[in-house]
Amino acid sequence: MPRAGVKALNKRIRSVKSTQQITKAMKMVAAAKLNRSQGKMIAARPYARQLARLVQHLAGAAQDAHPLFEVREVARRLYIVVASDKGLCGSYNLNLIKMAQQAIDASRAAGVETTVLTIGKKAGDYFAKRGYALHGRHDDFNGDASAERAQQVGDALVRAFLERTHDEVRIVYSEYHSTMVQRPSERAVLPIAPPAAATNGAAGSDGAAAAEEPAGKRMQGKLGREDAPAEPVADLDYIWEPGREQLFALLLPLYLRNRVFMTLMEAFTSEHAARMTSMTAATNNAGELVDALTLRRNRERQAAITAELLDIVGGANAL
Amino acid sequence: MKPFKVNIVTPEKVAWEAEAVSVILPGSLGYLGIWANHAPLVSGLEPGVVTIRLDDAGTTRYMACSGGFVEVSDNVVNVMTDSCEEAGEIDGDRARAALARAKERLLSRDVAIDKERALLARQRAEARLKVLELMEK
Repeated sequence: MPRAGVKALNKRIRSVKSTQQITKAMKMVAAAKLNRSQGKMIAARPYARQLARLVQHLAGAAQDAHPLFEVREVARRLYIVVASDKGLCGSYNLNLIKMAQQAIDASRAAGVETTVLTIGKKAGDYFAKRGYALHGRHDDFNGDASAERAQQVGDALVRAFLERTHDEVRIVYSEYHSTMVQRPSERAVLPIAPPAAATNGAAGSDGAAAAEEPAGKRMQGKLGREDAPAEPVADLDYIWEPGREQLFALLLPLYLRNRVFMTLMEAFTSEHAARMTSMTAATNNAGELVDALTLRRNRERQAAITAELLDIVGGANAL
Repeated sequence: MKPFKVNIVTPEKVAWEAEAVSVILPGSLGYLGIWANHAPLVSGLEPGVVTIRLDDAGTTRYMACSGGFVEVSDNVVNVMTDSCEEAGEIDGDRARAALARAKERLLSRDVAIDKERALLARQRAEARLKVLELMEK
């Protein structure tokens, strides 16, 4: 009897160990991806910051509003939800989707026709299953934000907005604060926040990124202050080539694309971080389980040996 | 001449961040040269060659950049472009192949082909080849 217990325990230990190897491998993969994704995100920030600054300058100088700035009464709203394609990343998708659903339900309750554009299979499956009106779903991004994909999404948004199929576009994604902390957050994408608020919007777009990197933010803040006194004067004196309007027409879609790109990048970095954290936890838990099981097995094996010895000794005494 | 700051940023990296005495950029209305104390300017950029003169002795760097924007103010030149490569980063064979393909597409009568994109591709390839040529000299 005790023998069988030892055998069963050995089997379990082996199975837990092999699971641990898998979670360990997944942890390594996620860590590598996180590293790469984080590097890309940081490398992309100066560009995003410059672009945001330029839009601000232009918007400040150009009084004639571009159609992408137009705030309309919202009859149709589009929600973009960025989740992951695969699971095994802890509560990443759960928290995000919960928040998105609340926002969408609230929007519907207010009598706004609300559709959902999902990025990531998990979000797509969730909302499709529950009968939400899907505007579209992208299941093939696979945790990698490329400029092309951002362009594809961004251009589709611009078209939808200009053709008036949607009056407002909002996005729900996971903000990346650090490897341990990612927070779901909601943000307006279109209309692009008007000039006065553009400062906040622009700072927000990479500001969320900067929040995690205090040095970057401080630098940005300093930059802003230094520029502040010169800006109003400089704005008036700019030479615009070709014209201000043509520049605006070129710049705004680019800016929007870049914002989508940065958002995707941040969401995917969060995903890799979440996966790494949860796989680290899983690997540790498996290790603990193996230790506990090994202890129990050794104890049982010892008990079996003792019992056998007692048998033999008892038998010898009887003779 | 007085040096001023030149920053070139792309979505992938900061391609250039240093002082220079002059820089020549492919503006959307033609090439434009910028020296110190240039008037505040915002211009679109076409694919083309960026020439950066580092000092008065004439040390010069060439880069192939694709379209974007430039902002000049207060002796700081900020260039935002989709890509910007020095000669060492350019694959000559690839650029030649891209040029041939773009030319072919431009000559084709197929209406499904996006001529504007082909034109941009041709400009980009030409810029890259030009940079290689300039560096060989």
